[in-house]
Amino acid sequence: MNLLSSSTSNFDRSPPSPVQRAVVVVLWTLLFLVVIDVAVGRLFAAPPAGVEPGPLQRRFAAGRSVEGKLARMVRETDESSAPMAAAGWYGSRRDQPTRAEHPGGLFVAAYGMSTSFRVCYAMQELEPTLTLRLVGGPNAPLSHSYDGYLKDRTRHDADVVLLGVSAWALAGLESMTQMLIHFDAPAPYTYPVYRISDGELVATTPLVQSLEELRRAMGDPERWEAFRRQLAEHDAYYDELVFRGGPLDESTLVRLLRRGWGQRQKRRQLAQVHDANGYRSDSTVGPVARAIIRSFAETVRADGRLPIVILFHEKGFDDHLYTLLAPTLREHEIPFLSTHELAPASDHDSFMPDGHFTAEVDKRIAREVLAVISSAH
Amino acid sequence: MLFNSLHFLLFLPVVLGAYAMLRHRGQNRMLLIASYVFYGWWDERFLFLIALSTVVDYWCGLTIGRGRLTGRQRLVASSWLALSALCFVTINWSAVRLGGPEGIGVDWSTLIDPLGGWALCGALGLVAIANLFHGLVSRLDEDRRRKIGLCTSIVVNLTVLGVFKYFNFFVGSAEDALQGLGFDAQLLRLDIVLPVGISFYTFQTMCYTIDVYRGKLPPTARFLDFALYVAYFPQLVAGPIERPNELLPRLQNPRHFELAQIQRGLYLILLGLFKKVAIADGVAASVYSIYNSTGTVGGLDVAAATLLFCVQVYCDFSGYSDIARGVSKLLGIDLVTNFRAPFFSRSPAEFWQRWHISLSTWLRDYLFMPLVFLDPRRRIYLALMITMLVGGLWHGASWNFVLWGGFHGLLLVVHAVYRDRWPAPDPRAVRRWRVVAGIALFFAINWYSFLLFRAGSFAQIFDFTTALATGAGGMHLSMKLPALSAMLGIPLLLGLDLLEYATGDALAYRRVPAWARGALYAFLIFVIIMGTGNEPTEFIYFQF
Repeated sequence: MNLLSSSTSNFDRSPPSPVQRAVVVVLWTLLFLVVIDVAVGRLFAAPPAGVEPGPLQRRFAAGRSVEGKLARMVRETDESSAPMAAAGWYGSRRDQPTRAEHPGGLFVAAYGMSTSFRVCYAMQELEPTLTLRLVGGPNAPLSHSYDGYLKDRTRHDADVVLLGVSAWALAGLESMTQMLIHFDAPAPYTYPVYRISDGELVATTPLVQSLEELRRAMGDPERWEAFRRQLAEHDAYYDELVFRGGPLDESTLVRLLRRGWGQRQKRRQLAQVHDANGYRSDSTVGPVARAIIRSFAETVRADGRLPIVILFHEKGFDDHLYTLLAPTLREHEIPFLSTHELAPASDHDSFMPDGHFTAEVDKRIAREVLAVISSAH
Repeated sequence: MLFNSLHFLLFLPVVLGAYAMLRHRGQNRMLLIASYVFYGWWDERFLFLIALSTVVDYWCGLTIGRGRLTGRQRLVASSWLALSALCFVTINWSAVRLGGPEGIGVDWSTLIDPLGGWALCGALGLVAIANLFHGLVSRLDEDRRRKIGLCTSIVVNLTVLGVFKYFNFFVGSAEDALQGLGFDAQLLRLDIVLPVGISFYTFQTMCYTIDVYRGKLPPTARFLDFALYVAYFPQLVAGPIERPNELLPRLQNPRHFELAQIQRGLYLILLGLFKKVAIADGVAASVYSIYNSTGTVGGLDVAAATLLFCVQVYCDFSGYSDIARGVSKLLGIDLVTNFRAPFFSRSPAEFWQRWHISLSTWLRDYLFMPLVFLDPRRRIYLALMITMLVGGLWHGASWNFVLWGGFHGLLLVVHAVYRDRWPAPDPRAVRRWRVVAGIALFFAINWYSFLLFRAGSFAQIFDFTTALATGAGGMHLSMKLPALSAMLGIPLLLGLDLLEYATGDALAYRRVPAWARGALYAFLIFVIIMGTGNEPTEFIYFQF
């Protein structure tokens, strides 16, 4: 008897079947997915509070739920919270002048977003005696600017009241907070949603209106649930999957999937408002925007001031905002300026990588605004 | 319905589930319904054109091959066309509302589309004429009857293609030419939507009648099999363009399933999604930021955007082909390979053996060869040029596509002349550095051709070419950066294509150990998930 041969045959294994081989590959795939999930999560973990995250850290955290992001951004005090958490709330810009700082100089109160403030600073460069009062928030839609103006109108004696309207942010008229429409990198500030009822503008005011109130709501489940329900009812960009937090926030792959889902939902909602031809006529955004502009001009004039509207056309918006609002502005003889003629939205040279106009374009627009003010005065 | 949409994600399992439960004939009927749902998802009116093409070519095929249709065959084909006209263009389905307090609500005033009514009359007229003349045609001598069948098929298909794709283009060009001569011309334009993928299925159905005419295959007697051949959803809207002698037998015979085929199908779907979602959509915004800018664009921006467009169009189109082949493999039906690492080509001739293979072989067999056939020596260069000009125009109703086709035609002619004088050396004797240099040189030439392909106007071609040649507009890079998924995906894709090129085997990835395959699949899934955040763009070749 050949022991060696016998022993070998005992240890002989038949080659794995195709099904077994497929199962092994699937198991390896799952194992590597777990490894990638954990490794990317560790490598690009959020930095400690107070440290600005890098682009990749921001990229891999973008799909964290809104609740998850808020929990990281909003801490016990304003100082320990992320700077973005404080942006955009009314009154967050302190030490704003209430009267002209230079005798005989012009005093402009501006409501809008960073694009309009950059133009205001350029105006100040061209006209050093200009005094500026700036109220706004990052990517602020018209509803936020208008709400800021209403809250602010009795607190200064500006000669000119400037309203900056962003084509890109106009869709935000259907939202209540930047937490949802810009959930990638949210600023949690809130603002009313307007609708037209019997020809009148009617506002639904958010239950949370300051960082302090947000902090309190986050610590009180009942209040938080009420705020969440209000968002679900009134904010067109609310999505349960994007909003609700949980342990899955810790998974890189889930965060990436949630970001994809959130982007998809956002695009679907934006497509209801705007397409390649302009703002859709069947959307409520146009009528609400026109009503806000009319109301803004009436109240500014009633206060004895000069209203000015700047229509900012970002990349991809051609002259769409102008087409939507110019007839109303002309009808009510509201001085206005549209950037599409000064800096075409299709000219990539007009824009910086972050989407703002270049300094040269800001100055060009500022010069025109000053000319409009001087001719209207 | 897009392959990379949630709708398709739900559609495919339903189709596969139903497919698994049915026998062969039931599978084909179900696939036909699924294909019509898939295509009608864009616009149900497009389905009438598919039905028209199906009925005409089915009829012509039998007329050419057998001389006549049986009464039942005529009845089925006639009913199909009439019902299609009624259901897809005459009834305006948006007038029917589901849900609400009444359950189903109908707006009777808009239920019938007036234009659709004309289409229905036209379809009934066509059916009547075809049935009326059927006996007459079947009694003609064979040669005349076959020619009538072939000509009818070609005329109908090219008319449909011409009206829906090229009419406004030629009218617009004529207007421009007349205005250039000082005439104030305002010619009639049609307010029509270009049906998705019309060039693909028109070419596919035309080659069926041509092959029947040439005696390469018998005509299909079963109408539903032929209707499925025309409308088979995996490859309907963007190819690969299948040959009837390949696809029809696969549809007519029962399918057999093997695990390897399912594995390969799943891998192809994964690879296609990776190319489309992670890479093509990830670079689309970068290309757009330069090619859709009205401002001054610098040479470096043009160079970078054109390079990324090469990547975009390759990933977009080959990604679609991969998904199409993968889905079809899950159904047990193989489709032809459409791309084989095309950017590793060293000559224009090799490029067209690697890029959009189903179109280049179609053009070779049905256009180039007949053109060359009569007088090979004198006609070969002219035939090359004509073939590529038609190929360019096939891509889109725009002069820049004609220019692109002409550019490739010129490259092929120059290459053919060169090879006539200096025949290609034995590939085994060519040194590696010469291979690399050849690939790099041809890529640089081909890269410029993609500028012609992507440009929106002749003025842009001129401006961008000037910027490339002179560096005008500055050499700073202001192009929007590609998405992270694309930056991670491009090196991996390059590696996979290099592996395929070096081994000459598209299945080379399967030779690596199980753990390495697991790592590859996991990374592909990871990058696809990352790419879901990219703005999805429609597949570029849908417009063709």
